[in-house]
Amino acid sequence: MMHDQDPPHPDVFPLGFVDLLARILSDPSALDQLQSQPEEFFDEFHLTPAERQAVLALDQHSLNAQANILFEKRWHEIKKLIPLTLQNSDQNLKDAFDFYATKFWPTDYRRHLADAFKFLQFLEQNEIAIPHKSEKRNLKRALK
Amino acid sequence: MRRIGVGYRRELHDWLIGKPAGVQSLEITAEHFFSLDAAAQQVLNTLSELYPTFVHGLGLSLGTPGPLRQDHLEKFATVADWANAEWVSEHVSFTRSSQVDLGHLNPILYGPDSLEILIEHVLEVAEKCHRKLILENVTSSIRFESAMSETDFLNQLCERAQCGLLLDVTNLFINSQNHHFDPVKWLYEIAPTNIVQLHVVGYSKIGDTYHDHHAVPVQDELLDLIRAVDHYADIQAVTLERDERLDRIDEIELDLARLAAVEQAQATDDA
Repeated sequence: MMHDQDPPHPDVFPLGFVDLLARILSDPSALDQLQSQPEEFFDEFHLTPAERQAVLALDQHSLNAQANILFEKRWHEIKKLIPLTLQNSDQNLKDAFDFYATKFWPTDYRRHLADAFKFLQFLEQNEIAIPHKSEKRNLKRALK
Repeated sequence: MRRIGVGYRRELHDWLIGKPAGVQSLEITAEHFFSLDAAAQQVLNTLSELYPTFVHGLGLSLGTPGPLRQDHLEKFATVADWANAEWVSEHVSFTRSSQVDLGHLNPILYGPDSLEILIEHVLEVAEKCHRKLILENVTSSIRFESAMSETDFLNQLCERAQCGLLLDVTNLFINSQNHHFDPVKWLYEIAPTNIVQLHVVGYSKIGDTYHDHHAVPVQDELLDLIRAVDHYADIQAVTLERDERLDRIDEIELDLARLAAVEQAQATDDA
């Protein structure tokens, strides 16, 4: 997963409950693993018995709903920033976004701008769609 | 005095500079000014001369174990100073882990460990900002089986960290509907002296699920909940937290008028 800052070494800060929750909310494959092989999944994290029980008690529907909120919020903001790119493409770019969004999470405080710019780069590099020149230029300028 | 106001958004700037009736306070979102350039300082100085202001953070992630991001905290404190904020606020939640920044407010597990993490972070932020920190309740699709109830957690947090609550009435209502509990009963479990400020905005509903899209006028049920809070606690400010459809000044002004009517009725009762 790409991100702008390196995470701390796991030996310094053991992965805990918040790390587990963030992982399953940001990575659909992690959520699948939790549901199919929970004990193997837990091995990577240092959890108290109460935390482990709290995770096991969560239902898939609520986890999926919370994860969807995260991704839908990003898509909602990106749509506002690159409407011409989306309009000019002969494809529905939501599927491309759904794939891209699991691979990159912006960290800049201008996160929606960074997200939109990275998505345009993803579209271009993977020859999915051509970014609208003014939108790409404006985002690049705004992120300087 | 309960000061009614709005969350500052750039789209509302020209309207707010004109000092519209019905706006008695402004809430500044800290991260919107993290450029910390001359233009940001000028805007904050101007706004603070026109309105009492409060600074509201989105990304300190107080619920994340380990140290706070000091660069983020520095910027947060600087914005609070430039805005001459009366107090600062953040959330009882986490937005990032050690591995990923989710950029969204997520729930924490209410228990002794998370309580200690929040207390430590609250004290640090309050000291850095030289201001009281108040904390907002968040919406969540997830409801953990926790060692402590949410209200017990919040009361203990306020007492031990010397902080207050920013009660988001809309978030409380949304959670109560999605997770099937009585919001007024929840309210009465909170110590009234903890509640400093309210947030409110209209909720959205898709199918049977309620959402906080911050896009529509305040519904009557939310005004009823505000009346319940007004009777119960001595609130200092009520902030209309609109993020979408900001061209609808008419809707915003009507919501402010309705909130003012609620506060006027309470003031009459108090007299």
